[in-house]
Amino acid sequence: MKNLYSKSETKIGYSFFLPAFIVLCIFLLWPCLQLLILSFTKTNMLRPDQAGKFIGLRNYINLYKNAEFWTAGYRSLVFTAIATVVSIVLSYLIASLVNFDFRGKSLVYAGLFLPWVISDVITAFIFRWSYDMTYGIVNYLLSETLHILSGPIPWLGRMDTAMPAVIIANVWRLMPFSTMVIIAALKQVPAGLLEAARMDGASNFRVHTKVIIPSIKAPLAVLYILRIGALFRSFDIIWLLTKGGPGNATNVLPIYYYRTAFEGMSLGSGAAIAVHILLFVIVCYYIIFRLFGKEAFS
Amino acid sequence: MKKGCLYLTIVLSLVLCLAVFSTVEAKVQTIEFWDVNTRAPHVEAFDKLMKEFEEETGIKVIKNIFSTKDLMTQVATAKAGGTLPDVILADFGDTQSVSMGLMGVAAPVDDIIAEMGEDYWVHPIFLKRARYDGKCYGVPWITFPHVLVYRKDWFDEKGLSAPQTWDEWYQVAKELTEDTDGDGKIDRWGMVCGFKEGFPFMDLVCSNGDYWWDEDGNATIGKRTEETLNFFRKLANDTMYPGSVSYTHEDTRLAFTEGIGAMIATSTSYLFPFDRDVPEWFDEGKIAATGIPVNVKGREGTFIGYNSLVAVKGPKEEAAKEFIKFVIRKDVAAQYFSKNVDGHVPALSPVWEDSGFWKARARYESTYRAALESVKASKWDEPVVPWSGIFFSRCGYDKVMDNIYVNKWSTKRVLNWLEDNLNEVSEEWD
Amino acid sequence: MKLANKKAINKTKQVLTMVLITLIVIFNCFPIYWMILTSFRPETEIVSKVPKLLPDDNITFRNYRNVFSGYCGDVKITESAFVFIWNSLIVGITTTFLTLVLCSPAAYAISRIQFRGREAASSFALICYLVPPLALIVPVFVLCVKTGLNNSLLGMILVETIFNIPVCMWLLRGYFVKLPVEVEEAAVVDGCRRLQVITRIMLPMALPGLTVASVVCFLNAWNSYLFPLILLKSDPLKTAPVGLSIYLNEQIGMVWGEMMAAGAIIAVPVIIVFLLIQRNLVGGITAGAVKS
Repeated sequence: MKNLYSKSETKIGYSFFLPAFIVLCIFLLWPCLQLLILSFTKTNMLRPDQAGKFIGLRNYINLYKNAEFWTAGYRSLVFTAIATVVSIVLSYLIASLVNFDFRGKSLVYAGLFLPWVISDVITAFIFRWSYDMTYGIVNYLLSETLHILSGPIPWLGRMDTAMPAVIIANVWRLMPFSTMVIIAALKQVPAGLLEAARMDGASNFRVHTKVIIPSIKAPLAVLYILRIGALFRSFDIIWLLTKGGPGNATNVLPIYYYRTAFEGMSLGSGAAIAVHILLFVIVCYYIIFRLFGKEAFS
Repeated sequence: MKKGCLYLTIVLSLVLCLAVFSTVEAKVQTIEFWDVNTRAPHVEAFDKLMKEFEEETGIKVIKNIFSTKDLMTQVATAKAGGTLPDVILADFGDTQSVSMGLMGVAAPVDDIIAEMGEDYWVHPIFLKRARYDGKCYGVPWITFPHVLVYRKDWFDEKGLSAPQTWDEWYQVAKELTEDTDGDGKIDRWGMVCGFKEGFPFMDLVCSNGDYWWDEDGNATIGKRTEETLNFFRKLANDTMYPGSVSYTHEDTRLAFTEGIGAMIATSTSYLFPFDRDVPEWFDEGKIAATGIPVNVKGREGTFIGYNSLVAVKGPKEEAAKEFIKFVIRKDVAAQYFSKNVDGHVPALSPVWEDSGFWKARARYESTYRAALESVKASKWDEPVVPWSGIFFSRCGYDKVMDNIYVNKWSTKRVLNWLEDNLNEVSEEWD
Repeated sequence: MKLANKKAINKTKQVLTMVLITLIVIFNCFPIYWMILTSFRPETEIVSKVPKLLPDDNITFRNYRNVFSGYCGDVKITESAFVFIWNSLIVGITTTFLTLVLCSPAAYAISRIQFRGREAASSFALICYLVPPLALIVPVFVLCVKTGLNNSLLGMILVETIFNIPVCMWLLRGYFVKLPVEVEEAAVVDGCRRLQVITRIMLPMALPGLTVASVVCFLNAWNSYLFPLILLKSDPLKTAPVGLSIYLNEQIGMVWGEMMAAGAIIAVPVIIVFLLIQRNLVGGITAGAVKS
């Protein structure tokens, strides 16, 4: 294969890749570069006289001095980590659960994957209403029907429940896709391997950890990186549910960015926050790439 | 297969062409207006106004609607891209019009103000808050002063009268917070409020004359702020419906309509949802409004929300100003305010003398009069500083409320937090 | 005896599994069900402290009538929902087409062609996917204004295409990698030219993958909110989520009925598309993976 087209190979490769590459460079990388430049300037919309004034690392230094940046970063990490792990672990469990033949399978699949098509905006509105203290279905079910709670709780308005509530909304939104990918991956686990493990008398748990998970390592790694990427920059759902509140309980980096750049009109320091979001995701990508090796990505 | 591809391509290119052509605009002189008011009566009344303007001047107004919370983002991006509209409706009592002036978006409108005379507006604070560095950047138009709306039937039942001071306010609220059906759970609360926009706290700040900075932008956070914080803590902890923490302003109204709370501090535009949802409350006198109670008599300052019209700098500035003058002209305004959102009252004095306006507003005459009185009596006089928007993006009233009620921060901690941020922001500005 | 016992255990296990699966499916679908149910209820029924979980006789189409005619209460406040849906369809379909045209060859290149910089190219695609669109609002908007594409569906299509290319490239790459090399080699030996190999053999073989990629792309474009909000200013050009978001606006005074109807109108078309291709989808999604 390698030498089959060796003469024209590179030429064809480039000519195929170039159109997409050029478009991405102009409309994605160029704006990214501008963002980077912006982060070194004192650009505040309220000070047009100083727009684009180069101030070196001042934005970054101010950011590092601000305690809220660190807590927002920490919150982002917690949010991303929990939502990623929960959504993927749950997806894995669900996928293993439905990974056999039964009647009505396609109906169940349809039901499992349905939230995938619902947009963030609608997700936020459904959940905001469901969490409502007076009319919300969640409070009604938990306190009136199941009697788990003694009374209704303002889910989005308490320090201890706001973040979990936001995470649940995000997990609900993201789980179907992970489930879909894992189901597809499970189908490719060689049946022989499973048979062999079962013959050896391995427990169910061991079959999962020693046989199944290693053999779907690659799709899992890709899933992780995509999830982390999507969650670390997720904005719509949180913004529409809590606006980062109560207090700063759900003030994650994208919300912090939005407030700084657009409410505080300070595009320069906003850009510095955005650069951190981008850097973090790239670092995560690099770590996972290193951990799972090239097999996952080639 | 090939044929299918061909057809698909043809269809798609047609769609593309359509998309291109639909952006080509007709060549009539037009101005673009950005609106933040999405309520139906406003939309209807304003559409009529735009048509009349076109008939009179031949200038077509194109209106685009945004959500209030997106407005400044939209203005910022449009400024960066050079796609600003010609007239913007700036929202709320904060100094959005001044911000737009600083951004180089708003054109000074001192000529309009001079032409009309300052008495054309019912309260000097409107113009004051649109002014910075000697220039005025917004023309006040609609106002919605805040009032304390209360359930008169419940008050009468208990023999309570409308509170005038903070102490009375707290006592009344405390008395009304109770378990009415005897199941051991409190089901009626003295207060409901919406934490998401921070309005209730803004009311307290104003009604205590508690301004956080002086004319020069130096922090003046001190004893009054402490009083405000402590009073809010007391009121919220003892009398407020706990669901309020995740509420927006509108949720609050809904909850009030449902009879969850006895009082809300809100703008006069509460008439809109209330009269639609529970018209019998008005007919039977179950609902009444009074001015926001004050801490110490004599320094009261009702918070007055208002919308100003901002003319955008640029080639169409003249047409924009012409439109603004048209909108605030006595006859046009009287007609608009006869039909607009109930409780969005005119900021323009001549309209208050218009008989046609009163005829149309007969149902709410007493409330409208009360609103006018509370505007006129307001001593709200908060100094204008250019960086207030930046400060509020860090320490919005909503966050102050959350930190007291949800985070249970001590008053001292909140004070320090406010002062630190204030100093930081004002230093960064210089 | 023993066998029967085992059978019984198996039976209970199966029943338990099914119950669990049903519960999960309910958790997944309930919010959507709730939205659609609410959208058919009159305002007075929606706001009630004791939610009615099952549909009853009290059904109204008023909410839908309002949203489809652009009314709220008795006043026309915006365009008809049909206009927004039409715009969304134009944007969605064209974006899908453009994205596939641009990224299929690129995906093919990074998965099947040995050229220098291949590794870098595929990392590049992933990194592009990881860029937070939120951060690029201002630069992308300015770029659109400079090219005269703001406030036009064409600009919207372009922006959506940009953010979908990395996603679809990854999806298709995963697909192309899995296709058997032998077929391609055999065709080349038969004297087919490379381009012919691709159009005649590879593309038809990758059809399921292309289907999935187009669905994903269409979904993303359909659901997109942030960029149309910034880019499309005039009502007749707005896409469904942005145009209908006027009903989701708090200021309008909590019209839950219209709100949920608007939500359902945005969601139902994609739900239908989803149900139609659902069977192929699970087969189609592979390790290439995508944005949700």
